[in-house]
Amino acid sequence: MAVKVYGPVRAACPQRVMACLFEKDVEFEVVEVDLVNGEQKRPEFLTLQPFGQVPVVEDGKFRLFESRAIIRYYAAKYPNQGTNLLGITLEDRALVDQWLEVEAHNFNELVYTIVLQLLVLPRMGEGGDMHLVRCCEQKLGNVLDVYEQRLGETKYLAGDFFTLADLSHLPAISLLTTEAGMGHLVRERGNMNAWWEDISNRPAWKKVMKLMT
Amino acid sequence: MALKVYGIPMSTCTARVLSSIYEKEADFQIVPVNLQAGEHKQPSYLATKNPFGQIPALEDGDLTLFESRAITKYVATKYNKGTDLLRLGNLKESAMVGVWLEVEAQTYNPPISTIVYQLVILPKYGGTPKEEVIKANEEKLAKVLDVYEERLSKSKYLAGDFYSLADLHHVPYTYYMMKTPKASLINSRPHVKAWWEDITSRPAIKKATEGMTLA
Repeated sequence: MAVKVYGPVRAACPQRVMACLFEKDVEFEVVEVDLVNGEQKRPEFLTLQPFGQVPVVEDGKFRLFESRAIIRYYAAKYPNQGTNLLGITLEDRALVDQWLEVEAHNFNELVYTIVLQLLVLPRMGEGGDMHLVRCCEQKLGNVLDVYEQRLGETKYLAGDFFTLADLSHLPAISLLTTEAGMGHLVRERGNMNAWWEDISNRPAWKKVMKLMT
Repeated sequence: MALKVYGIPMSTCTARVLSSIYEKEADFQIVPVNLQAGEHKQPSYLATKNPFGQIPALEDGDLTLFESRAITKYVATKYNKGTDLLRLGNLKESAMVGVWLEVEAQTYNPPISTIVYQLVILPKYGGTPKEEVIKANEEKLAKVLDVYEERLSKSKYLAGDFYSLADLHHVPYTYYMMKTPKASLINSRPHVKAWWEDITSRPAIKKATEGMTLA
């Protein structure tokens, strides 16, 4: 029975999960959730995810939320199927966790704020705070300088193999380089640019992009 | 060989790491980092410990790690002694631990760390707390704690009927918030309050919070 992923295919956090499921060759179906009309805040949805957020995953009777917990679960559940997303040794795993935390705590909030102010609020008819966008862009540049240095030492973030740590960045960087018009942040950094070309051309990510058409 | 933890015991993220080390009964030493002197922003620290210029960092032989929530996972996985913090022997239990680890990081931490920064850290360095910021984050945290109250009325701990790393991760910022008037956010919710009293009575947590002397 296929795994059910609740969430719109256009939203970043469901995309994180879908990329992982494609990498692990796990069959799934998408159950669209209407975020524009607040479906995720209605009582029926809150029984699935009490914080009113997407995605939620249903695997038979087992239900999970939080995209970064879901990808960790599937990467661990199918160690020998699809791409190995966790490395081999305990040390590999620790480095994957380290860069997943960097994505969550040093990277994500800045991108989230940029996207909220630049794309989401204007679409809702509210003004975005351009000063805040510029501030976040600058801070993000400083963070990406660290990534640039790291990617000069190793091919991917956790080491010389693609892992969950790289995968976790796909939705946000995709948004940044397309709709948010901030592709220069990646293009101007040689190692980051090469890494981005590599990971965004993986078949699994291309399948996620195709779902949006 | 003992683990080396670079940081200071009164810092929330260092305390998070120390809590996990105490729970796993591992040997360690603290290597203090002089934040006042900006040691964590010096080139040698950036190059060898944490390129983002933050504490804590961990050295275990050849391996250096940063990000407290990655370090605690490493400690919880590496050592067999002490508390089973990750439930790795049971995939579904470990998945539930994973869910509530993310809830702490993504949903609980932002408002509570802001409240603690405003009420505890800022005044220590001569700054003035911003009422609007505190109020906005208090409202967010209250909504999150309503979900926790519901969850903890059905389950003794966050991931299930077993204490785990997910509960532990909540300790440092909550400990400091409990020293402020915003303690009422916890105290007014009976299941959350009972959970808080339970986890902070653990010997490992008591040892870690002894060093948390900022408030």
